[in-house]
Amino acid sequence: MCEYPINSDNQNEQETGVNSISTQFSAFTLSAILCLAGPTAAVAQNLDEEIQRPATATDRQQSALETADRAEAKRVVEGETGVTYADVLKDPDNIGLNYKFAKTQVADGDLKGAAATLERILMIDPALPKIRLFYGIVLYRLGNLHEALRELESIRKLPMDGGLKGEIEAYISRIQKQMRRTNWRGMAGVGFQFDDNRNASPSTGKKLFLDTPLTLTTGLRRSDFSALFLLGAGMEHDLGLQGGHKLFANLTYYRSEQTLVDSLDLQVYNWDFGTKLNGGRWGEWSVALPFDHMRLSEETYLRTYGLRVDWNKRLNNKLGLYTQVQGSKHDYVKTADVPTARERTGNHFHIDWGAQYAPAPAHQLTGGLGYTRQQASRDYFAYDRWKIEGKHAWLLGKGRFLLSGVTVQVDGYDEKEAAISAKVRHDETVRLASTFGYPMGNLWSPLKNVLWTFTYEYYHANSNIMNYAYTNNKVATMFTYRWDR
Amino acid sequence: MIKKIFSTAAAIALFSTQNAFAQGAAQQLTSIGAAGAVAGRVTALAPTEGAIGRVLSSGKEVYFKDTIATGARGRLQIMLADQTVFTIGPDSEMLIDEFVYDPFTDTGKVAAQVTKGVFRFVTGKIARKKPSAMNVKLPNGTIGIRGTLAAGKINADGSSIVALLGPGTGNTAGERPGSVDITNAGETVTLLRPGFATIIRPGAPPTPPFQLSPDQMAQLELKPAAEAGGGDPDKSQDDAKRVGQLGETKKVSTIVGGEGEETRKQNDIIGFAIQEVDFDDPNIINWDAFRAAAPTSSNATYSGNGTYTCTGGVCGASGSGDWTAHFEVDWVNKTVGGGGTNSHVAFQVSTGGPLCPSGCSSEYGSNIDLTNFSQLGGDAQLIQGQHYAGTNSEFNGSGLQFNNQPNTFTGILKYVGQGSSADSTLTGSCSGTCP
Repeated sequence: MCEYPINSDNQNEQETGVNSISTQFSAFTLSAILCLAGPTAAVAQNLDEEIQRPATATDRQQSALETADRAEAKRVVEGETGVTYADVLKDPDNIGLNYKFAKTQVADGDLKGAAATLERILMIDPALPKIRLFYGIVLYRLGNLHEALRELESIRKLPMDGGLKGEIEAYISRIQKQMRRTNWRGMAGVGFQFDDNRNASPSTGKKLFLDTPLTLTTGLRRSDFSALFLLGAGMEHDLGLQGGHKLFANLTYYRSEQTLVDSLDLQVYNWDFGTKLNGGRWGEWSVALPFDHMRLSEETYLRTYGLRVDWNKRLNNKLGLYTQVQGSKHDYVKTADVPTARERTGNHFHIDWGAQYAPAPAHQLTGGLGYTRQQASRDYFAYDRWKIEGKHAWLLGKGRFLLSGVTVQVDGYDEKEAAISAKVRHDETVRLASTFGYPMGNLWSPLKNVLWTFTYEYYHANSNIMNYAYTNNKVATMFTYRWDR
Repeated sequence: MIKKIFSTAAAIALFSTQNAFAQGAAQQLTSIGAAGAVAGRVTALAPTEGAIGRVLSSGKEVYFKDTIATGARGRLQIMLADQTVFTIGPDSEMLIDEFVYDPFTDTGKVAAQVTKGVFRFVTGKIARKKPSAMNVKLPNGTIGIRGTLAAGKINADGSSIVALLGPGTGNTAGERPGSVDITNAGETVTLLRPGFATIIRPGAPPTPPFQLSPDQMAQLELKPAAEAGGGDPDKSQDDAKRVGQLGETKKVSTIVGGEGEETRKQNDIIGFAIQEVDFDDPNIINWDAFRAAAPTSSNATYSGNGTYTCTGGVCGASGSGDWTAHFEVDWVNKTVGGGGTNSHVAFQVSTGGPLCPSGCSSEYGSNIDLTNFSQLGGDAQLIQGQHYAGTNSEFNGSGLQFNNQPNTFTGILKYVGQGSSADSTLTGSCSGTCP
């Protein structure tokens, strides 16, 4: 978007509502001409989308890490199917049969059942370290940490091969960490991204000015590479209550450093803290106070602070529901490249509803609806947004996964931007994205905490204002290292 | 409820209504699952008129309204048709009070009573579909289950401890977090977090949830402790052979008394005539009792060598020779003998003796498949000579006799033919999986 600085400091006029087309006209004319010809032409045409970039990137990476955990957990049972409960009932003390059945149960997502099957094997023959390890892992994944630890500690001194022993020690360490009242974790990611239309230049190569299409001489489509950096640290403190309530705090730093379009260098510091509450049959709740600090081209551009409430409830092993409600204040700061940024300042509210459905353990579908209300000091920056999205997570085996998603948004702005058009802006956007994840430990075990991701994204914006109709294609790759203690 | 069960039974695909016992057992017993990992003494008593208590071993069916009891070293898993699994520890007793299951819709109801001992359970498909469709009654209090793993112990004073074992909030299994509602004296306490428990005392509300200590947690453990060893479960055959080597004292239970004494109604548990008999006790009286305490998935080979004396006819005034006796028992399939070289019941007089001067290699025996060891007779006598009549009537009267001792048997050789007669006995021993 091209910004118009003339009204940015005219607060009295704004507050009294004296904002006629005639008084704005000469100012817009001058500013628009300056905008089209001046150095700010390199700023993204669509700053509403620009401020979502860091959140989209970090959310996507967070989803990738969570999916990587599930993919890793599934690895232990890959390749085992076909044994049925009826088979086991016919020969309930057949250890080999029970073992295969337990693996089938885990592969089918029935970990509770697998726990019973493995317990049966150990009742028959307690001297099976491999089964104890398997049983310990199942209990650990079910959240029964004390029994999981006891199972694993009971066999750590038995003679066994080094690989099995190492695996047992690794799980003991992981469980002991989780049993601590306070847990810390961190991540660091580095990668790069290519965007074939980094400045969101209109597809037509033209921009409206007073409803007159002008051929762009500057601000033409520019492809660009950027280096990506992601750092994160988090803490959870267990309050020790039977509800399992926790306090948490997270800090994330995102940086996108452009090769050519330096005016779109982004940095975001995000931190939030809050509490997670277990409401039993009423689901799990999280209440957080988030704060974002975004810098655009090395200048503070946006500060966001508010309140976020999340609710999740699993209805059964396949279906879960979620809702997120967030209210926040978006406080824009004038920068050299975007002198009118303050006109965007206003309250922000969004609510998302959705459901997750796992038709099979290797597949998870997510469908959601969202509504956003963005207010701004200038009504032509204020909008209502409706969103519908669908995601698919596919665990490919050996810890690999593929995340795919489609998001459709419809934005309706409050008022026309007179210097551009007499029409009130209305956008429809589609985003298609797919991320492939690969655990580097598959190649070299010392890299077991490193995840490689490769993402492709297609973004298409339709708008009744040609200035905001554009497409871009992005590819990004990132290596992410995680640790916890 | 029984009527309801019967109407639902038609939909039970995995299990069929069967007789519990050949003699006088009620036809309407409904199988609802099977026993697994049985060790020590475990008995079951169905309430149906005409039913008698029975020794429960792995693979045996469990019937609706069965009261299942374990001895001092007994334990087992009760695997219900909907994949609900109860694990019962020593000196415990429970009753499957209600079980209705439609495998096509995975709906139904499970209700059980645990009257004493230690127990654990994992909910199955019924509770997965509708969490409130399962409950467990204790002497004091009720456990309402919401898709979970739980455990408990009932103390001699009637108090109980009940603990939640998972799944917890934030589990990585994709499982809905489990919870249990424990109700007594009109008040309910909900357990939400694995490792937390409540205590129920007679006439008092459950205590507020508290975190179990490691010692308390260990009291709810029903598996044997890990032993030294490096077994690989992929090698199922090896593992199968290890079954039963748990160091348990092998005891069996058998029903004594006449048919009238054996007939019991559902609540007529008191006075249930079970006599516990050790293998060293000569009162062990039949092969079913023998097998009940024997490990499963295993065979025993009994064999012995003896010397016979022979007079008259081909034997002259007196002669002697060697002979062998051999038979195998398959504990799982309840068969004696089987087929193949030396894998059936066999007598063999060795070459070189008066009954077989040269080239005598044939075995005088018979393969016998028995559907029930009890057919062998109350005196545990395995084979009498008449079984040989079709093979070689000259050996009529020969046989094998189980000596009511753990590892031995007696072989009896009788021969009358060709003007000669021979008589001999031998004592054989057992190898393989022996009682």
